[in-house]
Amino acid sequence: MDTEPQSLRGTRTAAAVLALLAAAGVLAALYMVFFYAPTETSMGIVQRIFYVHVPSAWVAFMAFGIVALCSLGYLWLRDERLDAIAVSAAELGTVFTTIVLLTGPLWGRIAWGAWWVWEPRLTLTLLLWFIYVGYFMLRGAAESAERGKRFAAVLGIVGAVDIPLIHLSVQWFRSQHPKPVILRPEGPTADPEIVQTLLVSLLAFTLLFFALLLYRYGLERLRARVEAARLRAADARPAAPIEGAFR
Amino acid sequence: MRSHTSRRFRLLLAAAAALCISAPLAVPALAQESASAPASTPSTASTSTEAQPSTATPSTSAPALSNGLPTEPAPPRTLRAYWHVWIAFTLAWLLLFGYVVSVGRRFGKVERELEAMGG
Amino acid sequence: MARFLAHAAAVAAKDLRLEMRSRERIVSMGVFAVLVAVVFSFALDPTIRARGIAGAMIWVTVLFAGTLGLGRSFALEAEQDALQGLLLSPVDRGALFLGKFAANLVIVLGVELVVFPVYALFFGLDFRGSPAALAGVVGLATVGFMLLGTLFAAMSAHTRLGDTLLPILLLPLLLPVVIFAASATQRLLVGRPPSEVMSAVKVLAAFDLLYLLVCTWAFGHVVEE
Repeated sequence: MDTEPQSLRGTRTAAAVLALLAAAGVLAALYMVFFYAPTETSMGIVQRIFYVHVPSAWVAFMAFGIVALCSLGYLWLRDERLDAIAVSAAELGTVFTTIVLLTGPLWGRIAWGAWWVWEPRLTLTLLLWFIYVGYFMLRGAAESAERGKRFAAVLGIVGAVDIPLIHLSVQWFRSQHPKPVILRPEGPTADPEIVQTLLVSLLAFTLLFFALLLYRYGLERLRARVEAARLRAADARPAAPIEGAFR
Repeated sequence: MRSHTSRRFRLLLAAAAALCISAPLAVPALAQESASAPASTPSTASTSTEAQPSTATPSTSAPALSNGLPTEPAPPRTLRAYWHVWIAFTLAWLLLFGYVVSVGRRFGKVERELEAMGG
Repeated sequence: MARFLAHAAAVAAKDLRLEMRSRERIVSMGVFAVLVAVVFSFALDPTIRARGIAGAMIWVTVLFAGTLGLGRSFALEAEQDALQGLLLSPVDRGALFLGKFAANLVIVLGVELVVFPVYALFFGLDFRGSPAALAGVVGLATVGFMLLGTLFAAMSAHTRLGDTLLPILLLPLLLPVVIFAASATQRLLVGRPPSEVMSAVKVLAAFDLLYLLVCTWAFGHVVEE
């Protein structure tokens, strides 16, 4: 464990720079989504939901990858910074998974005629959301902060091992059943403009994710600083109980 | 000094949120524009007719237009599609901005704690 | 290696001996499972043929009953801090995990020995078609269930939410096991040949191996201190 988070200023500067880049990317993506990309021929206007749905899904799964890698690193090195990145990525992953789960049915209602279909990718995203929820419940309910970090890291790793298995088995399950009518998002007539717009949206969301990750990471580090100061204050007055030090 | 920056920050956030939410509102006007010129996508017409039987779900007005057929699209369904696009984008941006605001609040709380401790 | 297995067996024997004395877990799980079957038989519309959905019903029952019992498997250690004693003894953490897992496995397999006949009795099912294949499917699925279950029970025992948290953590991760177990059980139930479930058996065995490695490793990080 490091003693004092000194690099908060650097983190903030990096977050601000990334935020500016992300804002530019998001503006460019929004312009392309509504003024550049043509209306897709077979799905119509709802296809434009994909420009927010697909990048969110990409970011949500990438976030879980980051959670798993940082958790592994945390269990190995016990560096508080790795845990701070993991918890920040998990929170953002929850936000983006929620976006995926909200925008998906809005598209499906028009394209499939149903709000919810047990389609493999949709099912996987729903389970990812539940794993994220479990991550925060486990972390928050642990008896001590250190235990919470360790348990959450274990869940992050086991979850990352299990997600491919869930994907595999859900796909196997669907192949045993009549398939829903699926309009492939990147269907046969993917115009170059559509692909370009999707790529710009992916880039914009990735930038946005990393900007928010740094922002949230700064908060976690500041909290660590407060905790350290509180522990020092408790050391100075040995008789006083450490109130709220273990959250 | 702190409250000044956070107020400016909040104003900026509100402006960005308004911009992001209002952008999808441009879509209906835009689509009418493209609907008045249906010859814009003649090359995709053949592929879309191929795709048509396999999809089997009633889709929105676009394929009929690209086929060059003068069929009138069902207005409520199309309108609803616009609503869905608008809701999807609005929800996404609201969630993200809500998250930023929530982290900002937590920042404020921790900073006040730090100041109270004199650290 | 022999030492490792001997330690694991010792831990399992300790847990099973405790269970033999009190019988509290197996009795509560068994009674709960039978009650679920009773509830199912009244909750289902009488015109529905139970044979078509029995695979799902049985696995839902086993999952809920198993989760109920798993919650208690570390409760004793957590309550009286007996885990400290176990950790101070020269037993490898992996062996400790395997011992705990083996004890849980035996207990849940015992409950399944009650569940299957009870369902056969209540819903007129016939499991005698291919007993070896059924035993393989049930055994492998239960091994996977207990590997993940023992790991997460160790964690949830040290939280304020305790047993409430366990199903929330466990059920999403158990989906792969449930999918293959329920569909294979259902196929055997309607009299399909055992060769049809061979792929499910192989996949379940592969999942078990992966869970065994990951959970045994992860357990070391759960119980350290």
